[in-house]
Amino acid sequence: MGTENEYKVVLLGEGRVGKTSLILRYVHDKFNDRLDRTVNASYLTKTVALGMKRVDLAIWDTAGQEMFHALGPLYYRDSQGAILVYDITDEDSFRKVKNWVKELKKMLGNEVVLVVIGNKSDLESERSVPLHEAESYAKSVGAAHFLTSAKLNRGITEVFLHLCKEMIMKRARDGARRQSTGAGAQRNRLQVETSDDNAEPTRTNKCCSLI
Amino acid sequence: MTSRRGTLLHVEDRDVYCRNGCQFYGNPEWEGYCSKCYKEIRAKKQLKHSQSETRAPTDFLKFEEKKSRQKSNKTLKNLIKRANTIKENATFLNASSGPVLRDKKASDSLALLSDDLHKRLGFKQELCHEFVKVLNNTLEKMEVFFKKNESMESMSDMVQDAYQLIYDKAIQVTESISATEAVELCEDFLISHTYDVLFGVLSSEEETRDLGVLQRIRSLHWVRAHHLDVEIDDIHPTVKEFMDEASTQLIFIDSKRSPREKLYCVIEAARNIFKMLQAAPQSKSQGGADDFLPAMIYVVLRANPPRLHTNIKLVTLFSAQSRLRSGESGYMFTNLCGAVNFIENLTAAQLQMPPEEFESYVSGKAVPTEDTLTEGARMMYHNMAALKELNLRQNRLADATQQLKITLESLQKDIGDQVDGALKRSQKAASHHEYIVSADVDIRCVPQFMRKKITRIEGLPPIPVQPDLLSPDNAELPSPLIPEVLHDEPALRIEPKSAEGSDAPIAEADLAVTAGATELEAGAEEKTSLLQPMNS
Repeated sequence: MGTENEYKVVLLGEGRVGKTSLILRYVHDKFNDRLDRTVNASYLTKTVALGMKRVDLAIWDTAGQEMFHALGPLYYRDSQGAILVYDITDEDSFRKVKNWVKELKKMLGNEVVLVVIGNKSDLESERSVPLHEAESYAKSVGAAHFLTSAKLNRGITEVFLHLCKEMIMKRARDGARRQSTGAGAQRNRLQVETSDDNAEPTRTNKCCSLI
Repeated sequence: MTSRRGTLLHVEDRDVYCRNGCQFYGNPEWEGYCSKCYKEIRAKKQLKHSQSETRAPTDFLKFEEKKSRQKSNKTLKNLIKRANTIKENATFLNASSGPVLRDKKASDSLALLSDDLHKRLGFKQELCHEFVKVLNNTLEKMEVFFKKNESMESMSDMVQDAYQLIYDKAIQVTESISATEAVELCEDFLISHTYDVLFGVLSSEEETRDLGVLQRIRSLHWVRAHHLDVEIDDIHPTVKEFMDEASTQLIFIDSKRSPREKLYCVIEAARNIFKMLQAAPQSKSQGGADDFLPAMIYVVLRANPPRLHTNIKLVTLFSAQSRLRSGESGYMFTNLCGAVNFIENLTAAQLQMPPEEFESYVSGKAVPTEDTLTEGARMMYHNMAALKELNLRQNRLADATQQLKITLESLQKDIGDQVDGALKRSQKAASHHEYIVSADVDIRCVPQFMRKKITRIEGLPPIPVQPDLLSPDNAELPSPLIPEVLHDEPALRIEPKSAEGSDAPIAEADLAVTAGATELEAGAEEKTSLLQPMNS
């Protein structure tokens, strides 16, 4: 169920790298606006018109603190896109992105469109994650790499535009493949139990395991 | 006694003293006697009783006693036996036929549902009937599942298949939003109708886990917001208010009978949590998940909602997937699940404290020293904040009152001065009123009430008296129509001579006119006085 235009995008990244600022900027075009605060900035929706196509994005923010890492699968399951955010001035946050990518690949296979974002590009002078390293890493895992600044509203629209295009293409490809292989819409029920090891086998998708 | 208590407002002597009149105090417990008299009376009564007993035939008494004892025995036994049979019956019922789900109530609500689908979502009657058929089938299957004691997961699969079937049927004639809504309406019916049975089975399955979570939350009572890496200022009254509301909503989840309502509670709780995060004036929260999830965990810890696992499982298994996969409800529910999961698996490492310390806190051997705010202390802080606020307002009020008083006083003084001045002026004016007329004016031309106050001055031009008005020929004529003259109108166009002696020259023409008027008036007055007896 759910409409064919709906896409779920999950936002992953270490705490305080600017995930929330990023989507607030994208959806409401606000930055650190203390006077006009949006109450809920964890779950946001945005409709994007892409040529003749309409895309309803549902953006799920996640808590980035290390202690909540184990809860990740609850959030990223069934998502079509994942945005992995790191802070260009913080090497640790980049390492964290690598972890997330590994985990996502393991749990969701190639089902999900990945985008790696280096945020806070306005702090270029304090950069500690080399650009070429980040770019080559992103390429190696099949993800696009972007530099953004929520503060200066730089590069954010491009990220979502790219993501939307990729997700539409992916869904179209999958739909075609599903029809040809005859694999019907299978149900993957929400699992409450998410102790990291036992949730994994149920996640591997039928049509991907065929490849 | 109760009736006495009502009248105790007026205590009279006879209410207080012993009924025997022995001057000791009586007590309603002792039928109004004092303790001594009451003892005597009771002893007398017992004596009487025993005498009558001894008089009765002993063997009959024994027989009676035995019989009564037997009776009570029998009833006790019976009670136990009856309870047993009820239990047996119940289990028997369950084992043989399972719960009956397709009853009168079901068909009634299905009729309503089909009506709703037809009218609100505009589905055709036939399609609505098909939906009802699917639901009826599902109910039938559920009965079988219950009878065979199948697992809830397999029942969930069956129910989800039914939802999918309804969706597939609906999507052929309408767009996805209406189809989803149709599914959700059907789900609402199906689950709230079978809620008691479903919830019963689930809660017995999940009982241990529910209790486990309950215990776990109790043992984590010492966890504070800063442990979870979020700033929540519990002492702030507004923050506290939102937190209480969020807790209430989380507790309400258990009392709602359908996944829709349960999820609504979760959303409401989440809304209050967001508000809570941003209520404190110094809060830096943007409402992102970095703050929201820890806050959710914290509120769950504070609220300790009953039967969390049962409720989560019910929603997970039997709610339409559209609710859970996407949308705000899905996100918030995921967060609740995450919070429960986190609480269950919480380790010392996650809170960045040594395992021994964590263990000692969990086991209740030790309590963290820093900022252990008990409910009482929190209330105290809350009250103190409130008092401070009140004090501030009180001071402001006092200041404003003082200001008002000063203003009022000055105002009063001002007004008094003005009134005094006006009074003085008017008195002066009143006492010195004079009407100046020329010396040779006919007194009849001056209105009566003015006649005493006129000052005749020589040299003023004479007032031309209209000869025809005074001519004897006119005496017979009826009086002319005269305008009503308001008495006591000193400004009667005759310029009063002011006390200050502002001797403005009286305009000739003016005087002429006024003289004419007075003349007229005088004539009129005389005439009316003549007419008066006739009128009366």
